[in-house]
Amino acid sequence: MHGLHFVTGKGGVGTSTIAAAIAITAAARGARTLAIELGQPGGLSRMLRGHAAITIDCYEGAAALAEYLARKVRLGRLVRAVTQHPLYDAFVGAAPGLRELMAIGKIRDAFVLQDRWDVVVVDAGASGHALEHLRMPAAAEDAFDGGRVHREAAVNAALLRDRARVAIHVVATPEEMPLREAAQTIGALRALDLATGALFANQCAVPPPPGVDDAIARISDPLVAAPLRAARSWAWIQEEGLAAVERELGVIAVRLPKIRGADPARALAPIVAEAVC
Amino acid sequence: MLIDRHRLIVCVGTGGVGKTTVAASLAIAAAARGRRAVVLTIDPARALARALGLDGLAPEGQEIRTSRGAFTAAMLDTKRSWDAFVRRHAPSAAIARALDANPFYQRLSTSFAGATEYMAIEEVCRFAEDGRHDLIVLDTPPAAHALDFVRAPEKIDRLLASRLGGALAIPRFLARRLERATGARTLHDIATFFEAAGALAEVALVRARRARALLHQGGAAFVLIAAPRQLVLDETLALADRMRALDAPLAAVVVNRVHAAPPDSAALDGEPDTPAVRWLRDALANARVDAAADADVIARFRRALGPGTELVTIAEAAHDLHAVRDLETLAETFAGHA
Repeated sequence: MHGLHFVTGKGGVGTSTIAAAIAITAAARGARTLAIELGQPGGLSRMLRGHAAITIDCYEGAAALAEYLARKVRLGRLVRAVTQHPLYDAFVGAAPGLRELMAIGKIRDAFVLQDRWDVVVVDAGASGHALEHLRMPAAAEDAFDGGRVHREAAVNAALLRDRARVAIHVVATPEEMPLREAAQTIGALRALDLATGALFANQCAVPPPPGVDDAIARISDPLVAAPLRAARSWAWIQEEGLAAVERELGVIAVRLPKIRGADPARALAPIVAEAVC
Repeated sequence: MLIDRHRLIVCVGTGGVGKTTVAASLAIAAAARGRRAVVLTIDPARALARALGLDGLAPEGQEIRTSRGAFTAAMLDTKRSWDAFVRRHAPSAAIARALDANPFYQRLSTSFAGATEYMAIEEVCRFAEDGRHDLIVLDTPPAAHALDFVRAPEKIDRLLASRLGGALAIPRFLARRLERATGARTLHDIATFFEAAGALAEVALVRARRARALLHQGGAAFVLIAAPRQLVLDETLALADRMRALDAPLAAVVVNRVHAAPPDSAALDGEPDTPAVRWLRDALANARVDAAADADVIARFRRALGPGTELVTIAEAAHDLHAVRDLETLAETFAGHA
């Protein structure tokens, strides 16, 4: 097991859970595993706390940029003078795209350049946010005609397209809007020619067997029938939605059951592992 | 409390909690009470159009009729907003053309991350000034970026103020390093961009300060939207802390999609033991587990928030919401909190 995994999806669908499940599996198989959150520490750090075999880090753009300047542009002793300049602070805070570019660069650094990790898992968060990161290397490769930023951006863009080493997984819950967002995200990843991985359908209900509608119709108490009709309706939305998205994309979604216990990442790890290895 | 008093309501929350549907419902509830409301979404995932059952929404806004009024729904189109901003405020057509043709500007206005927040500020100012609306409901992007919008005016302010103050004069040795880093043509593009944009900088600075005033003075309220899950609760409380630090007034917390407790599965005891009935029994049992877990999380949430913050709960619907009439049902929840 070796590779760089990104996990994204509509907010709240469980990207951290899936990222944690991949990290737990990788570590259990003896891989040197690094789990990264983009931005502020959140769900992934909380879920993996206590897993001694997994290193957790949080990549934040502004800090990644300062690090980059120190090491790559070889500003040396000047780096302090530059990073403490009020203009630098204002520019890094305000310059669009720079932080995202640097965060991706730092991930490549950890995965490719340092020979410390077999598996790197990135919880890239909500799809809008994740796509801003994933499309930045190609955008910067285009925007800068030469020089170091262009070369950096180009190698980062090439890595994100390398299907042998990278997989960008998309997660949805089996509801209309998360599934549609997943389909759009996969569409955007394909349009950018990035290394698209698995589509996970998280929190799936058991599909209803035939005869459920008749059984509900026989129930006379409306207080019992109403919640059952709702459960039936959500299950129907799940089956219709999954079928539509699978048809549209030409992929089979990996179905993950809804876990009502304490540690969903650990419970889902075996199924997730089978899909990503 | 919520919809009668304010001129700007900012909906903030972690991902997947239903910010967009709640934002649209607030606008619908306000419209029903006679306010001229506009809901503006800067969510790049374009959920507002979907929640309204539409294919798309124009950035200048589109009137949506409800059974008890009408409101405007608008979706930020970053590229179009940048272009419109340049056209409106460029001191001459020549400067507008120079910007339009500048490769750095073209990239900035289309594919650079963060470009959206800047234009969201411009759009909020525009709706605040057009005289046709007295309430703006703003739907922000999820999670990590939710508060970028709040901080964007301050960031622009700092960038432009330092630039106007002459701090942009880059020392020559640094310029040489930068040229080696970015390539000479790009550096040239960036320099011409700033030259042309300089004419617009003061406009942008005034806008940023106006947006900051809108956000921090009286008429603005922030609504935190959450779901009854432990992880969301933790992140929402962290957001509340960060909002306090940014001096953003929190008006209410909305807990969305709360499961109601159904009767227990003994209600199905008289039924034959078929696969269908077993599925229904499991469904009831699961729904009871979900309802109990929700109640537990909400109780903890209430304790953590303290008595000073209004907490509104919205029940889980029986199906996906994707039409105006679905949102009207949701809007009725807010009528009691007007």
